Amino acid sequence: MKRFLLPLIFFAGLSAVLAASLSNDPRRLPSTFIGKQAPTFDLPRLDATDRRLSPEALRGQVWVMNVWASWCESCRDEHSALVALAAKNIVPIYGLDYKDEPDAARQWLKQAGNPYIASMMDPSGQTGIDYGVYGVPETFVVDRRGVIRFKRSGPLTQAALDTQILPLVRSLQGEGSDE
Amino acid sequence: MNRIVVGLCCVFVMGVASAAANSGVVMIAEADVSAQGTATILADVDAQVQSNARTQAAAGATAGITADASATPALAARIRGLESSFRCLVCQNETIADSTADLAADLRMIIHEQVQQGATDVQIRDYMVTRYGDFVLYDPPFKTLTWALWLGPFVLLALGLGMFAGIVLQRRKMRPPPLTDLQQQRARRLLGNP
Repeated sequence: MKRFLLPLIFFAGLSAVLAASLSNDPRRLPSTFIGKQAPTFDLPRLDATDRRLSPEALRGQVWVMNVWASWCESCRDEHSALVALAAKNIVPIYGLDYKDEPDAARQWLKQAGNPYIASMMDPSGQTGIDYGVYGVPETFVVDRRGVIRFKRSGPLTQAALDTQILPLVRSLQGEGSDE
Repeated sequence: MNRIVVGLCCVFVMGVASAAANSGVVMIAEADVSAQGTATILADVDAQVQSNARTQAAAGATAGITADASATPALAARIRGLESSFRCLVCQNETIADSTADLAADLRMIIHEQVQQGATDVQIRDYMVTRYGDFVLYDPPFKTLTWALWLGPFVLLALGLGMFAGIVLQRRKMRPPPLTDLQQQRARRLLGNP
């Protein structure tokens, strides 16, 4: 009996490990930015290219940065959720227009609705690289002190907004802006 | 005989388990985000393909930018080596050197520029790791999160060999049970020595 038991236990253990791996998405990576200061940038705004925006200007408030592009198919999947979030006026959403043509980007926002307070233009993708973006769309939540508290790679879903982002935003808004 | 088979099975299972341990570590690293669902992968890939198509249309050939005429052969080899040591985040099983993804082309460009500006390999490595984490390295560092990745296979191999040796030694010590009188008589008869 005992000699069957040991391999059986191994088999069960191995099955458990492999079964757990099945539901595990290897494309999802933990962001190295959680808990770190949001990398700085100084980028022109899509709506007014003579004005620029930087994370320092957004200090003192909780804000969401959504990396998007007009060429990005899966950004379209999350767009309605973003527009709905913006309409609630809970948290300001800023866009990072990643490697895009400004005209195509403006056209897309006009057509689909603009959930962003403002979008920053990142035509070279350098700011995207500074934020470790590897698949558009990506969404970051930045707290009052300018620290990244959440990152999601891939389209937002209503469920992700309701269960992860909004509760986090509310608790961050409750935090003071000073350490 | 049976015990040997069981022992060999154990060693085999250990081997498989050690292979599983490799993916296990990655699993631990990802555990906090794995709940976010898998439905978006195809969409992401789709977007990347789009992006590739766009870049190639806009900027012409972006691959192979390292074969720049301004680079000396030694410098080109160094750039090539650096590119081969980083994983492409988009296709994940390819190095930045091999990948045709848009992001890989951008990162090749960055490596190229930094090397030209005199950055050391360590500086470039740090640049990548701060942005993409240890996952970007094809040769992950030995630390708390990765010790199981490095040591796991050896621990499991030692465990399997130990068990195998234990079973063999145990078997060697075994003596056949003494024959009964009746069996001895029969044995003598069969050996033609009544």
